[in-house]
Amino acid sequence: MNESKTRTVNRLPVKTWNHLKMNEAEVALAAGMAAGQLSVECSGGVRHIAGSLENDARTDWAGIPTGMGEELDTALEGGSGIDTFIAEPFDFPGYCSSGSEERKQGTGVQADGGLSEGGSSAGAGPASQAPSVRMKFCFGKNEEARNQVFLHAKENSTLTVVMDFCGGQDQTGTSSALIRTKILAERQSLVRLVQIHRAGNDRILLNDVGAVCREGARLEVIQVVLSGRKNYIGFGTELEGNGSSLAADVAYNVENDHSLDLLYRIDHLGRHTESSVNALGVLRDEARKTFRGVIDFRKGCAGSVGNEKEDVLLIGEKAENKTIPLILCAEEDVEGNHGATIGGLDDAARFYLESRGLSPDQVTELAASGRIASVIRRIPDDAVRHALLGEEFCGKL
Amino acid sequence: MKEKTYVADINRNLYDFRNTETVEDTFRLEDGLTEEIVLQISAEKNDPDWMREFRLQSLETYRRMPIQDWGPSIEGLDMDHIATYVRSKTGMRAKWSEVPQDIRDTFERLGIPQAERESLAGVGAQYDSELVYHNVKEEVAAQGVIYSDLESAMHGPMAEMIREHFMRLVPPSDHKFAALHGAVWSGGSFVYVPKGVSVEIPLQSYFRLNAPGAGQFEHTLILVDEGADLHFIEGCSAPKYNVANLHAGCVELFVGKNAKLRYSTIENWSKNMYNLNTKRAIVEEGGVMEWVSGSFGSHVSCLYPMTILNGAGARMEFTGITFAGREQDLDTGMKVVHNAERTASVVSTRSISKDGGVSTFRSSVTVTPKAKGARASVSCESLMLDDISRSDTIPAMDVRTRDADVGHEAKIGRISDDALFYLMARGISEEDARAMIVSGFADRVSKELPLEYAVEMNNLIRLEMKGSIG
Repeated sequence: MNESKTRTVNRLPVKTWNHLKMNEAEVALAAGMAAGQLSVECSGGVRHIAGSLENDARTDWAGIPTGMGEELDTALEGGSGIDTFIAEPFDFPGYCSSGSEERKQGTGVQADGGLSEGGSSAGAGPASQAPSVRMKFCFGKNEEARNQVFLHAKENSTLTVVMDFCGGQDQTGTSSALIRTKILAERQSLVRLVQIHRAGNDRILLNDVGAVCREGARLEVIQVVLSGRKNYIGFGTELEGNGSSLAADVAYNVENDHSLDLLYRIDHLGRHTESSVNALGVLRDEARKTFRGVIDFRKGCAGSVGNEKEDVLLIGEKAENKTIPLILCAEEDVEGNHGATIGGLDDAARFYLESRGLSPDQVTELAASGRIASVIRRIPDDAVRHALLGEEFCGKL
Repeated sequence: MKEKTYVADINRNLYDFRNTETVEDTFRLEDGLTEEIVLQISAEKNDPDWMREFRLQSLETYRRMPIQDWGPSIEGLDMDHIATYVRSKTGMRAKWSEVPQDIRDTFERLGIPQAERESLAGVGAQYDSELVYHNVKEEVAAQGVIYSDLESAMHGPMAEMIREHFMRLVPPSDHKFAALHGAVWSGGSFVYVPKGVSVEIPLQSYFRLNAPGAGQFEHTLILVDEGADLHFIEGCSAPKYNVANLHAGCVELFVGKNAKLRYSTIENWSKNMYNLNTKRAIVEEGGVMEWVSGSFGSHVSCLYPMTILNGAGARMEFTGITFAGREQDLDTGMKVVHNAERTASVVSTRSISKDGGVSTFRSSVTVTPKAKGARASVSCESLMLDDISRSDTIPAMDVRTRDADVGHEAKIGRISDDALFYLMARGISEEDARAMIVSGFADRVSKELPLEYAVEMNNLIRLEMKGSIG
């Protein structure tokens, strides 16, 4: 067993009372994590560089901060487990060869796909197909895995990325995985990111995301947490360019004695930037969850608007919920709103449904599934959306 | 392009006058904090043995505890340059005519004797470390209400009750400045309202810190017995000096079964003041605690009145406003713990930042597993009057039962152009229109205050907005 090191993640930029234990989270990670197994499908002309970053000095990947922070940098050191995806403008004339690939990360073995120089491959499909990437991270039993993904949406491009963190439900033994994703959304680009946490009941999963949006760029994020013993999500976005925007929809279902720790940090730097974070959650049994939301209006971001909202349904008798939604403001001409509702099902809604013949348990499950499904239905990838609604989620009802 | 406006600093003439103290007038312990100083204070106060020991233990706790690593910076506060005990050489009086002329003039200018005559059931007036005046109306005393300075009460028939309650809600280990308070506290008030007694008109304590480079550490202990009802008003101010002053008072409120206590504060310390005050209430079954809080002054404030709803059906309301201007970093808010069934809390706050001021709303709502059926609602709104100020909102919620309903909403923004245009289109000047909008923004708080205080608060806002167009 590798030695583990405790690291502090999801730190609030402004501290509050320490006894509340909301300022940050601590997580023990094994030293010497290896690149995890990943299968990739690209389409619509997305360029994939396996094993390294793109060779472009103008792209400052190190300068993109992530939600979990720099303390994870050392856990990610080493050259393996890196994948870069580059989207060119939609009507870019090249990259129309088809194929998919699957390989063991870090070995450099390419399963198939049209290789081009420097280990880069072109994505599948005709140029008319929307540029997209599907990644499936399959965590092995007792495997300590780490991967880094870099997404570069060039000016006027569109990129849809689905990242599925999965593992068998029957896995035993604890193990951890760390995935860091950095996104650079260039001028007027659109990036859609979907992340699904279903890594099994014994997995500790750290999902660390950092993004920079340039002028007019838009980032749309959907994150769905369905399983995992301990899930951590740190999401940081800099709305750097004027008119850039972020929309994040988050759904989580936490059960047993599992835990979920979240940080969403949005820095409004450019003028007329917009952000919204909407989280819908269900806590069952003895589940624990901490939600940290930070909207930071920096000086100069005049005309910006930021909204964050969390709605938590507490089902478990011993479930514990912590929520701390911050608004930090150093600019006059802005509008920031946050709201949170936490508790059991509304009496009026319960009465309405029970009076129509549903049992109390059915009403509770309906309310719980409804809120998760409402986020899943927003997933732009049809296959993934149908699979989740059919197999993973609604199949339980 | 939107026009920027200049909002004038507060006109503090009302509060900034000062008395020049002479060695003959006052007794002042040397600056700093040592065991000798604590023992000297204890001797000055003629403490019972337990209190002397309590002070010394608190001093040890103070030395052991680190300064908090969150909130505004208090680097400018150097305890080696703070005198923890300063008093006038005359004792406490029950008639204004017997209070020394210069001190009486101070309180006259603040309007305290007039307020007492017109609308209060009793008044305590503290000047630096000691009360100089204390009086309660005969008819209120006849109801069995005890309103006195804490030191006298500690040697009277209520001695055991005070020992039982003193710093039990706010133990010295709570934070470093609570420990400091435990070591050097002086002055403050003790109120006991007997079972079933309703005090129809408010009691008031006014705290004035006149000495430069000094600290004020008054302790307010209020017990409202079963079914009783009280409104207590606290006011504070100080003239401005170039050296730091410190206010580390402590307020402990015990609200009995089905009792009701309203605690109103208008705080207008000068802008060299570090206001590190601690207030806490515990409410028993069916009891009601109401806080009305206005924070206008001080250089740095850390003020988070806390309520523990400890009995079934206990309720709390908190209404607050904070106005942070130049050189001010006001970190204010509240804490509530729902620790019993069907408890309820409603929080509504407003904050205004201007002229480089920093306003932070900080709160925590905790619902324990015992608090089945608890309801909590927190609403905070912040107004930014320029782009050199800051306004932060840091609300925390910790809910540990599914049978609870906790809601929170916060808004931050500027004066609406539409509202401004609407008023100006009807012939109102921009300056007046802005003042009207800010007064309206603060209306929810001012309407909770007694009329005289609401008028004072609105005047403060109007003065702040005067000359605000540039």
